[in-house]
Amino acid sequence: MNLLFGSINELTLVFLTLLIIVFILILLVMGYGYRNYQLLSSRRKWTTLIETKILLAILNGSHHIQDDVELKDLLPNKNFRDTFLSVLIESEKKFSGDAYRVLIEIFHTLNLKDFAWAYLNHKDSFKKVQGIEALTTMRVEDALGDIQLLLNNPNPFVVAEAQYAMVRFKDFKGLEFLNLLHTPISEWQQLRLLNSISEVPATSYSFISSLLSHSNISVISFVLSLIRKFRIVAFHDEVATLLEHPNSIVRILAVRTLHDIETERTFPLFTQIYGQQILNVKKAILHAIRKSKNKNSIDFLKIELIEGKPSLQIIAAETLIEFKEKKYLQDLMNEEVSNEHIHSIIKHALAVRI
Amino acid sequence: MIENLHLIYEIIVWIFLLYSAFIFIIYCWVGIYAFGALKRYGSENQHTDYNLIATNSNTPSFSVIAPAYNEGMTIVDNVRSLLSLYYPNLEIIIVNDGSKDDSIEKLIEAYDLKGIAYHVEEVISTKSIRGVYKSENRAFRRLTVVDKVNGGKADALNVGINISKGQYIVCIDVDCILEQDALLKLAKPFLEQTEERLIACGGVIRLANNCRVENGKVVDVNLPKTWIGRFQALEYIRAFVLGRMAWSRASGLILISGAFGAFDKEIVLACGGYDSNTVGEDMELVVRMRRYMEDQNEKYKVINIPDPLCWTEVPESKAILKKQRNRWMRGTIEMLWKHRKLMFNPKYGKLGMVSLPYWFFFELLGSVVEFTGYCLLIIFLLLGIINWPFFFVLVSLVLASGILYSIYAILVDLLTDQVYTKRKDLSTLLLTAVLEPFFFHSTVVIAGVSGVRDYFKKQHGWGEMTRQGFQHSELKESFWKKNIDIITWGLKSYAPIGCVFLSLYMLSVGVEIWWYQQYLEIDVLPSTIGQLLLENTFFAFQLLTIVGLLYLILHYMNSFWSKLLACTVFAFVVTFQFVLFLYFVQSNNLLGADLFYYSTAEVNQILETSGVINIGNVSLLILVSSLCLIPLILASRKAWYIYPSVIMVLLGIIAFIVPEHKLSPEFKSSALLQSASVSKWNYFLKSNIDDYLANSSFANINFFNTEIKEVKSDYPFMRQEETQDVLGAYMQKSPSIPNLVIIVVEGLGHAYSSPKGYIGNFTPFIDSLKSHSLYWENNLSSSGRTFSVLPTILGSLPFAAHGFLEQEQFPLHFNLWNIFKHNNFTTSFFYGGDASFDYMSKYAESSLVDNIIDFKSFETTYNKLPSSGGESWGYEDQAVFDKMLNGLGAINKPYFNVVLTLSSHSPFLINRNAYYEKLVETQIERLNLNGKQKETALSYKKELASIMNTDEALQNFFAEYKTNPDYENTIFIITGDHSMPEIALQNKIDRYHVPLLVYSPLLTKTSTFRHTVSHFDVAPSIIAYYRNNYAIQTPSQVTWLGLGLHEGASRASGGIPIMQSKYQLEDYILSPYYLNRGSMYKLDGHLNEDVYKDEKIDTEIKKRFDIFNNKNKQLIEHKKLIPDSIYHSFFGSDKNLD
Repeated sequence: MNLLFGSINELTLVFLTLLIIVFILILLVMGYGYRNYQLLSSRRKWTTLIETKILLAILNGSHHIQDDVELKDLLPNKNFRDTFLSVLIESEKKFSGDAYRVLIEIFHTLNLKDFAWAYLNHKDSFKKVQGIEALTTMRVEDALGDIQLLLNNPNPFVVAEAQYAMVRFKDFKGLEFLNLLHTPISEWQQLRLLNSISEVPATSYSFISSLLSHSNISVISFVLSLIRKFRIVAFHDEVATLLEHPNSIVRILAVRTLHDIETERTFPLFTQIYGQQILNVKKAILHAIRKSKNKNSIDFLKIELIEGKPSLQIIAAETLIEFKEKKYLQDLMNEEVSNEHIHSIIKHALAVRI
Repeated sequence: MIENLHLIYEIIVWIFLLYSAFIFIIYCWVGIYAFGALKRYGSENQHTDYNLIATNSNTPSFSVIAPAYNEGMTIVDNVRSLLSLYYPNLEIIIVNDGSKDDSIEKLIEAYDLKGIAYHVEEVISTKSIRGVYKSENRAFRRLTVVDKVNGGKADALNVGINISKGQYIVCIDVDCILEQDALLKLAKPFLEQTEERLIACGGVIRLANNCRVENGKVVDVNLPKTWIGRFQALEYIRAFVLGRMAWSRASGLILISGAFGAFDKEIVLACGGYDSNTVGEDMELVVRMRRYMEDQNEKYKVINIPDPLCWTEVPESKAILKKQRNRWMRGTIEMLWKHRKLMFNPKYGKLGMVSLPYWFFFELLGSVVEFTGYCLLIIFLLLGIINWPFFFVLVSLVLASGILYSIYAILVDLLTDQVYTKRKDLSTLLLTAVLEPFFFHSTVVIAGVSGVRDYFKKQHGWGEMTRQGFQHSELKESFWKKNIDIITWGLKSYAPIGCVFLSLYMLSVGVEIWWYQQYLEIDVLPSTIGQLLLENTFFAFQLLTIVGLLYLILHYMNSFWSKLLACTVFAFVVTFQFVLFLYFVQSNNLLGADLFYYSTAEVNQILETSGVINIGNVSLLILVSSLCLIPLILASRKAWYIYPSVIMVLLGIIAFIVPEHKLSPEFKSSALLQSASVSKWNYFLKSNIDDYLANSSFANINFFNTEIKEVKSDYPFMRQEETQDVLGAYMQKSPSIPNLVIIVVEGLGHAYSSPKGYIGNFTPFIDSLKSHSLYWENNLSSSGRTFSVLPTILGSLPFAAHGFLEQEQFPLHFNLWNIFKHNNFTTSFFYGGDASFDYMSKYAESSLVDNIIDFKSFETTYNKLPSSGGESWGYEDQAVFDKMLNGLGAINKPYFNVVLTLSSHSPFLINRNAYYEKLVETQIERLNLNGKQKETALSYKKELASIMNTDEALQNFFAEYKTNPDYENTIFIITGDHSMPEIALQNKIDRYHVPLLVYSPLLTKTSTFRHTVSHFDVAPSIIAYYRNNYAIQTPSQVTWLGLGLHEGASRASGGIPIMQSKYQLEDYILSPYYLNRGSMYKLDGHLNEDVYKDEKIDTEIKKRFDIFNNKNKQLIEHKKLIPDSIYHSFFGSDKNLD
């Protein structure tokens, strides 16, 4: 029988060929999977072995590790070296001080540095990132120059890791790349960078000032986080100018930052600009007032309770509770007999049991 | 008709193949793309320090919202697991959606909850809240419990959204167990967003069935115990590890599972929250959120992370699983319908151009296409048109591809998430991958199809989803009771439908009887009526039984489909009953499997020229169908007692058991009355079943191990050519080779072309020729239709399956055309109609006939036959003869012409009809017929007028021919292709009884022969004559069935087979005995038949018939008559025929 395009025998042959290919693929996939399963099992065993060796090295010193027979036998295996590097990087999070130095010694003793360099120079971006992580974690200063070049790598993951490496190596000075950064930094990256900065030298204040007026919103956001973390009060007035920034997220962050570096000018400033702000900024201001426990704002809060939008009224009411204005609220509830909305908000704030 | 069926079959096969190819390509893409995405995620998160998030108080706030309905068994444990989540800025909101059990009481007790006044800003409108609860215990300060009026999951989630304070919401099922670091991992993508806003993020959901859970944590992972759970585990791996990851990477993800997903609350509020009016609220929300972002022209993404963050319980009962899948399908359709404007809308980018079309064509239609495939498979099986090797290879490929995909998913999952790490679990999963296509997949498909059906039936709602809880208690119900109830209900609902059908059918039989009495040309005897009623009653009960059984089977699955089947089948049967008996009255023939052996063009031509296709008839058909369908539909809405159904089925079983021959005693009446008494439906079905079996592989299986007749040669019909020359003794030798003209007159039966015919002699010219010819009075054609006349007369050929000319390719053979052409004759075929009818032109072309003259070759000066319904059969016989005469003289070598007339074919429309009808009346008077004979003849006036027209045309033809010098050197053979079926038969053999004349001016003496001969004998005798007298080259080995006109159907010849129609090979003649459909008759000297019983002769004739049938089967199988070498060596240097 002839089909529209080819006879049925031809089609049968084609499908038979495909069937054979599929069977071969099944065997290949199973074979590949089995091989990788073996590798995973091996990795688990190796991880346990390496962790044990590292612990022993930390306890007894790293000088014996070079002669360790087990490690010697396994080190030629590329997968083992890869696992070793991973364990070293993970271990860095758990150990500090002398223990951390032992890790670095192990890294150099077992020539894992060469392996990490090979990764850094690899074409594959993920291998490059592993290389950066390893060399950064193990403090290989020689690699700094190469890593710095990777700040312009087309792969954003490589760039992020390179940025992080800069800060790990050079602390605050490593943030120089922010000057020319026009791509946004994610909050996650900001967290990492922030976590790696141990101090902000006073000599860098002009640099920080320049960053506060950066066109990149994420850079401003990061700098504000930095100011908050290190409570750099000197920037209060500069940060206050950001309350007029066109971007609402910057304004919200500015409110939070000002709260953290609060001066006597802070809350008058908040109440001054409050009326022109959008809802989210107002919320941030009210939250800042609440956290600050600044009772000078009580009257302001009372006005907001009556006149504000419902979500702001709730925050105002809750803040008044925190400021021990419970009686005021109860009296208000009694006065405003017909205003069910206010009753509901006050009851909510009072957490009245039902 | 067969060709069209094949075309439809091919188109359907190709549609399925292309659809499957698309799915195959998509799954290949998913597999490869997902692997890349998983590898990338693994690399990017290998050394992620989630503590950065866990210890930072400025991380984005999350609100975990978990709606609960009747979760009393597990809710306390579930909330405990939620409260242990690691995340700094987190609130847990449990929304009790009007549970009827003690969910809220349990929570209040376990977590020291107290109702508080709570101001809810109703951004999204919801059903009312009864109360909000917070704990007095600071350890549970994160927990908020909301009690509300029942409104469904979507409504409960909306309440949670209204109450939530977090920047992001995580919507989960309350019975899900989250990994403790789930939110840390979920928060990271939100923290990583830069230019593209992350609006929704999902994680991998795993099965908690059979896992050990302690204090709200999964401490020991195991595969589910039941196979249905395991199949779902595999499904989830494929869906989450491969499917979601691939679509996530491709920015085409439109589904975040309702069991666990995180969303940007601001966008959710901007979109209006969850839609309470859909059962697929999870997918619908994501699509709406994406649509919103596209409308706002903002960059965004929806992703899935491959970390296993959530453990959930899947249904381990088939019934609940089906409900779940049914709901998922309805949700899919609701979503696609709601957002149909996005489909193929380039404004919506990948969402509109890729994701939604994919979901429509492959997720929605996938189940429907597959289910349709199953149904078509059954239909093709019944039609016997499945190519089994192709089918098995294709099915194997589909199964193997599915298994490959599953195995690939398992191994990718192993390499990335390593959830099922136990060797035993891995092995079980691999086995599950192999078993799934056979034991699970069809359930999901059918559930999907039922979802489609329920959507269009407007069945909403979730159905009951019984929770087992982690304690795994199961509901049991009596298997037998359930099945008995279903069968009982089925019988009750079938009873009214069956009774209505029986009434309608017997009514149609009553109409049939009345119609025969009015319109059949013979008297309908009471015995005929009785027999007709009896056979139809049996048939009706048999049908009721078969349909009843199918009804019960379908009813088990769905009563709607069973009723639809019954109403449709019964209405069709009653309507077609009318078609069958009207056809019988019109043609005097029973309609059988031969219906399917005419091409659509042929059927159209027959219908149009017969004039039955007109508005009136079509409207009548529609009216009859409606009148049948309406009472059946009304009956289907009722239910009676089971007894009528049981009685009908029992009677049907009895009807099957009673042997057929007991049902039909021998009638001493005409063949027409015998045919009239037969149940037309029973005959139609039986002939089609017999034909199907004959053509299927079953035909070759010898079930009863009876002796198989040996066919000794590979070419069973081949023999030495030793035919005796019977004609030479009657002819004078001509100085040059005589021309040969064979004239086959359409419908020229002995009954009305001979004084001895039972109608009378209405061909005076032909009759007058007999006394100047060699005339075989008892000549038989080889079939009751025209389809076999050419191969029989010209080649003495066997029939193959459905007539020699029905074969796709004719096996090499010798016939008069190619032999005469090889001897330098000019060969021609003349026909007034379309020569492609019955493949006549194809046969002529294969025999390299020099001239094929059919309706396309006639100039407009010639007259066509009158048209009926806008269509004419072709050109009148006078035109055909004239055309042939005009060609004479142009040829300088001997010629061999075959002429087939047309005018005497149904509907017998001729030019000058009134004149010929008058001629009939005159002839009737001249013949001096008695009253009854006169009445009979007058009742066939139309038919007889047409034959008289042809007779006169022949007369003029010969008169004209005489003026041509060729005339003196020409041999004429005149015969009929078969008797007109429209004229009632006196004997069964009358159908084939046609005159055979050999007339020529070369004849030295004339003779009338009374022994029985057939058309099979013509070619051998002609060849023998020309070889002996004019030394033409003839093949030494031939495949003639006939031995020559001297032998005919004698014992020495072995007998002759006759094929009544293209599917009926039931007649065999070994003179004087005649075998017809297993019954034996003895023929007298005038071919009148009498029933004859002689076991010995019966056995011999049947044995000879069997031998012929076996030879014929060999021809069908091997498609060879003679070795190619014999054929080619005869035609030698004659390149045209080689």
